[in-house]
Amino acid sequence: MSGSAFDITLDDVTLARARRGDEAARERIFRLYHQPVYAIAYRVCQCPELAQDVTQEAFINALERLRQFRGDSPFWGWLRRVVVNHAISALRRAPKHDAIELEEYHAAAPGDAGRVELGLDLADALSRLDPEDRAVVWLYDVEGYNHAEIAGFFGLTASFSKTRLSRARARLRELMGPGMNPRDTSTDQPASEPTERDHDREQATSGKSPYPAGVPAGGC
Amino acid sequence: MNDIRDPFRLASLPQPEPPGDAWPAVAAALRQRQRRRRLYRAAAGMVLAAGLTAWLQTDFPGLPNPGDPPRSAAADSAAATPAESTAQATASSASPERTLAALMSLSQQLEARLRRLRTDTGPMPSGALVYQIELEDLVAQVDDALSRQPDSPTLWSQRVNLLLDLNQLYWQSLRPETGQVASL
Repeated sequence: MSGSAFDITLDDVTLARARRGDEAARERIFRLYHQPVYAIAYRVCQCPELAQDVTQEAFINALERLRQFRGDSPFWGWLRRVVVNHAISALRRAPKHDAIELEEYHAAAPGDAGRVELGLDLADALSRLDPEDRAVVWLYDVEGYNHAEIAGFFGLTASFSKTRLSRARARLRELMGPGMNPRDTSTDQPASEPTERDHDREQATSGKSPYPAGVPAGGC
Repeated sequence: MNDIRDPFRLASLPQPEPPGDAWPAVAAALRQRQRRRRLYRAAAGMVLAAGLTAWLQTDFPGLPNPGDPPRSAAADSAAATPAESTAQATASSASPERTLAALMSLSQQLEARLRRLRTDTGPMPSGALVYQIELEDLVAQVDDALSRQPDSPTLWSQRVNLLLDLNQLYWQSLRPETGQVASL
């Protein structure tokens, strides 16, 4: 069962009218899905401005191409794929930030001293993940996509998704400290050996990565 | 295995709220793109029409000149002076007035050509007849719209495109070597 907030049914009449270019019907679709579209864009991009841009682009694109929706699956699923594609493209276009190690972050913010021991809250921990790791963990855990589907969004293999999910969960455990007791992630392991392509990507996001191991992983 | 979904209960995080109403921006962008698409279509139609006119002028030099006064059907059927290409007129027109004039002229030429083709072709085969009636019905609809908006380049462009289709339909139905209707 997916925890996606997207699961909102659209009536056929509104869809048909919107396909014919009826602006009131298009606005109704926008109002129905604005919040979940923005939410997923924000969770993937972790930046309000970028998420707002992605939301607008995705709606413009989807509403213009409504005729491409064949109707053999729920409308919300089609719209969500459009949004995720836009969000991942935006994530890849966004400028990368210099890595800031967790220790440096805490040294620069004395008010937060001791927070490592207490454990970061979930939203903070999520925002500190590598952007692609965060996108993968969100798409898998919350939106309910499988590895093949996630790999499709990134144009990579399923082992990329498995590796990133495993890494994201390990990092979340680390960031949230010993107080965090996830339901059961002890068996998280990549299901197969990473491919050569994945290995290249891993190197790109390793120690010399522009993505931070710690703070902050947003796109803004 | 990653078989347990959402062990950290990420789904329980509060839903971030959009910062503002983005609909006005989305609606404006959609309207702008729609306008741009219509313009592209009209332009493409005009280019197509101009190209076909040039072809008609080359292969059927009896077509009336855009600048010529209206002629009788008899005079029309007797091949007159080769017309100057409306393509050139259309292509070199920059102002909307000249574009409109070129489209109107092209529409007249195509009407004249259709009259001749109708005479030469005789009755259409049933397969083509359905299409012919459909096209003529669409021309009538455009004419109706033109009676309300006589200076709309988009409508004139649509009329030209429909007349081009009709011309093509008649031309395909006619076997040039025998003057007989071909089975489509």
